[in-house]
Amino acid sequence: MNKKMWMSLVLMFVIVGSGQRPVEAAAEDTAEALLARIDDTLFPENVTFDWEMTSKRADGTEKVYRVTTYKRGRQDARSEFTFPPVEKGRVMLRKGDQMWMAMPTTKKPIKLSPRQSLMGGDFDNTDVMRLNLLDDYSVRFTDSSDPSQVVLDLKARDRSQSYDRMVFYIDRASSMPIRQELYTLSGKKIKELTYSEPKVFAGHKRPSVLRMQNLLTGKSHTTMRILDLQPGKTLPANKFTVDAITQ
Amino acid sequence: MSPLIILAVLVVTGPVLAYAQEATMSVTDDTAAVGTGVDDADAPQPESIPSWRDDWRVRGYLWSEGRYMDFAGDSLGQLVASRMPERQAYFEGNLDLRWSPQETVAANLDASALYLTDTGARLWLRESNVEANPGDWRFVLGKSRVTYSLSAGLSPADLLNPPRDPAQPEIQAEGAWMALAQMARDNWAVSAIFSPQVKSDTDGLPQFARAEAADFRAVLRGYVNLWDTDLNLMLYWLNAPQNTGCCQAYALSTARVIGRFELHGEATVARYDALGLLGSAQALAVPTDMSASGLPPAAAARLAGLATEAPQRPAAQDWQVLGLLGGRYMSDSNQMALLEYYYNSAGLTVADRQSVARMIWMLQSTQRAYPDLDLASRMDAAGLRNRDGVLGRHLLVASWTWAELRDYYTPRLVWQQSLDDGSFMAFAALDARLADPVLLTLGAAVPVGAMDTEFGMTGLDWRGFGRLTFYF
Repeated sequence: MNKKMWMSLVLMFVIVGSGQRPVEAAAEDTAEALLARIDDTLFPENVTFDWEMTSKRADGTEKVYRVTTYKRGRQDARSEFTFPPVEKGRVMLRKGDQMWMAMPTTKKPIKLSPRQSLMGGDFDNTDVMRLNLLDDYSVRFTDSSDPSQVVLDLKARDRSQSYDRMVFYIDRASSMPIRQELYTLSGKKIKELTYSEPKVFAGHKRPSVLRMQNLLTGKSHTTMRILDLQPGKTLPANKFTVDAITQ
Repeated sequence: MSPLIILAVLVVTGPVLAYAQEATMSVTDDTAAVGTGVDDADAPQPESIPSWRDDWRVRGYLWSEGRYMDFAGDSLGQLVASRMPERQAYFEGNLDLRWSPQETVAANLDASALYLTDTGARLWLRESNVEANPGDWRFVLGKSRVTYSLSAGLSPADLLNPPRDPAQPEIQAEGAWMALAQMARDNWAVSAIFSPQVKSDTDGLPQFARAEAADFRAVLRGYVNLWDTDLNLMLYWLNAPQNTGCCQAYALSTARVIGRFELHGEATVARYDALGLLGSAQALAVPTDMSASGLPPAAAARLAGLATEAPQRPAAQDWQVLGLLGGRYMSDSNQMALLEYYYNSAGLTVADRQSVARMIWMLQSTQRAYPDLDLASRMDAAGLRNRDGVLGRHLLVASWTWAELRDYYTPRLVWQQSLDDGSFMAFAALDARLADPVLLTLGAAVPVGAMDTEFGMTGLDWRGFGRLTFYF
């Protein structure tokens, strides 16, 4: 066996080993490495997932949307609405920090602010079409009052982000995210995102239910439920261009 | 330096700049990859799934609408609207199909069967095309809605598609027949379109221009996304009927997001005869020969003043500018406010419009004296009854929409204000979601202005509609 093959084997062990590493080792990670693993869990680089969003308003009414999101690499994501029928054909595209939306009747790409609310719910556009956290936020460990949890303190790298600061609670044993507190630039906590019901989708384990509580409006909240997820599968690159969203 | 050369330089340099930006980003990414010991080139490529996962994509709607128009009591309004029934019923069944037997090949059909009480039933092909998407390329053959406009309402940079309904300018109802070739990368694209013009259609099937009357439009377009700004540059060729001449038009459209605001603008520069070829909102063809043939001598005498009343139009060779500047704001509660200013250097001035009003008045009095004459169709031919054809020079459009207020309702207000003569049109509508696939829409529009103003000339006191739509 030549030297290159040995090195490949060693490298493979390191990679496989780190992937299977028990999560109690999380504390030995740097904060960046832990956040990168969270990114891999929540926002794998190439993935297709179907999800359902239910917005429950303060007056008790609720609205349901179903969407398929395709993510390609670290820069591109595309979401296509499939329900309700009146929204069929609505497409959203994210490329880096920029977002567009198109409707089948208008045939024009409309530039969107990533910070605006998605369909009037409690998630922002970037919440549901997030590419990764590590590119958008600097991160450090912070004290945890619960020894079963690791807490990360995320600070936006620039003002384009919806939230200036996030406090991320992660289960030390499973490395699964538990809860996220979201703060504005003024330091006000405006939303809280909780993760639950971890499921394995085609070998990829992640929380399947995300619940965003809007602390400003009190009773309203929006739930995002992952219905299906196919890691490693996505659309061809030519579907992630601005021209392609009107097609 | 001619505008053609400037545009060609921009079309070429834009993508080069964008490519350079793309390459810089790639270098940055590569550097990061080296740091992690992972080489992008060796990284596993994602498995592509078929474009829409299913071979078939089906959607559409059934639409039933009742319309009521209350004509203005004055004679001017009656003539302007004389052929319009007070009440209309409109039914439409729409089917939008996409069949993609292979990942890179698809056929699209968007067709409606519709029935309007005063015009009867017809088939309407909104889109019908085949497309291939090999790699970065896209080829389309057939009828397709391709627009490079980035505005919300009027689209002065779109010289390709059939004109939009001024009552719903945000909707591109149908496309143009075309052959399209396009190459698109992450932040730049170039495309070329050849579009033979359809002279008429029968049950939705096109009758193209005859060979000896070569009549086409073509566009070369470059797109770049630089510094988070979208920019389209278009060079149009417009060929006149009978192949009597070909002229160019130059257009651009741009959009950018700043905070929660989206700002957009577009402009077209073209000769007046080029705008005339479009037969759309940009053109106005008030004829000077309305008093001519086919009329009894006494009627012709009454209309003798038409020629002198006709407003002075620009010369065919005069360059015109159409432009739009706009902004959009979306709140967290799903409210959207939009403001757009539209400028048309070929539009009517206040004096021009007063001339047009006097022409209509002359026609009206002649029509009364000679009821058997069909002067209304002459007005149609002149574009005098067409709202598109009598746009002024300066128009401001403001709208506000609160999407899914209390989940079930979407109120919408639109205000169109003529900055030339102060007339305006107020429009209000309410969408009510009766069930997930069923939408009830009620709306009304009220034009306000004297008879010789942009909106007073519409001939209506108000109009209203009720619509029930079932989506699938």
